[in-house]
Amino acid sequence: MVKLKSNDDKEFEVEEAAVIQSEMIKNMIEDGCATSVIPLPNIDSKTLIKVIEYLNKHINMGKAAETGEEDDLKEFDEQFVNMGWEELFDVIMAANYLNIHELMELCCQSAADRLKNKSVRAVREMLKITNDLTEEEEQEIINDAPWAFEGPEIDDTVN
Amino acid sequence: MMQEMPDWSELPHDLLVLIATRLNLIVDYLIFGTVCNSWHSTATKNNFNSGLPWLMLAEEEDNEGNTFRRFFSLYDGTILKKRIPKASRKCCMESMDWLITVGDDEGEISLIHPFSDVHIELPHQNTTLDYDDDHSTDLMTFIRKAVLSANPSHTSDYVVMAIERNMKFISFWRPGDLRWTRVIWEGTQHNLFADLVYFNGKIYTVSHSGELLVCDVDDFVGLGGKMTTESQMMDATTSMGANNIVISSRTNVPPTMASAEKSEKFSGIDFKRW
Repeated sequence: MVKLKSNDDKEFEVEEAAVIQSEMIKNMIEDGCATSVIPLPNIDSKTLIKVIEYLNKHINMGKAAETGEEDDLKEFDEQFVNMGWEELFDVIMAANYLNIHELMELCCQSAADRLKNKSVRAVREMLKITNDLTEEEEQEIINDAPWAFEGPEIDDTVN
Repeated sequence: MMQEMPDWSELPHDLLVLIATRLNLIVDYLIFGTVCNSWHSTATKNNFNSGLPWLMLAEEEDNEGNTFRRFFSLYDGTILKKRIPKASRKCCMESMDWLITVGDDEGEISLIHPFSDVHIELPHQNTTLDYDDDHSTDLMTFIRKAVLSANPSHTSDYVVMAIERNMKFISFWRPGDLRWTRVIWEGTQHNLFADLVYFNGKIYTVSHSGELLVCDVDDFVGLGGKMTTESQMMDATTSMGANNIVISSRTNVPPTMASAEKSEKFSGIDFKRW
């Protein structure tokens, strides 16, 4: 078992087989740097619990293919990314820090899927992003491809 | 407990790229690049990862008489309405995301990129060999089919190969050429060409009598791509002839190709270099 400590001082025990899906921790273990607790100063306990949940479920990825449990795993992934933008951001950052490739892909795909077919206004509103482009810059981008911004099919709602 | 929204514009560049490359529709991608500065610098042309092609539907006309086309996304069924004024009421043939268009009034030929509106004028069909001898061809259907050997958005080493004049001949144009150059396959002059495709560096054409003819694009691309004057062009065609382009045929025609370049006429077509 490997012990992980979140930045709010909570410790979690995780099976080595699960935790080595993180390239970062795998390297630490191989280098013999994981003898006691591994502190994770960038990850809070709430996010770490999510990540561990993912690691535990994906521990037997190879086996799933053999036993036909792929559908089950797919369903888990769909449920897993069913979270708010705030939490998604934290999980993406944690996956990036721990270098868990599959989890990064899963979360970025989810982010992309949520952005699809949304208007610029809706995206900014959803993610509370302040537009730091000048009016001229924005107009220039729109002038390059005006047709992309005027389609009646584009969703302007925030949800 | 409501968590405060983290700053998505501060997401590291690599992660923004991971998200952007998953926006496979150009509309979504362009909108992504308009959200803020950091997202804008992520949404470069290179990071765009288009999935499946768009299906271009027939031209339509709105109430004001402006023409437009609908594009149907095979990726997710989205329909995009797009005006392409330069291709309006023209015959359009698709190749490598570009349209090869032939006009009705003048018979002018162009390469048009429908999503960026970039437009490359090609020499007029009257620059093909012996054009004046034959008045039986309709301007708009002069070219039966045309294909590109490479995407003009990425390189200037490409060729437009076309079945022209009642399907009797094959001619090509390279950037810089002032006119179309006819390809003559010995022993096949009297054939009608049914189709033309580009695949893996070679252009294949099949005739109505079932002959399959192949030529290697490398044999004539890059040789004359930078030509500006007619004399240089003649030099280039000579060297091309000397290259002895290999052509295979089901009926064992001799493996030689002569570029029919006997017309000395100069037509002063205004073409744009890409």
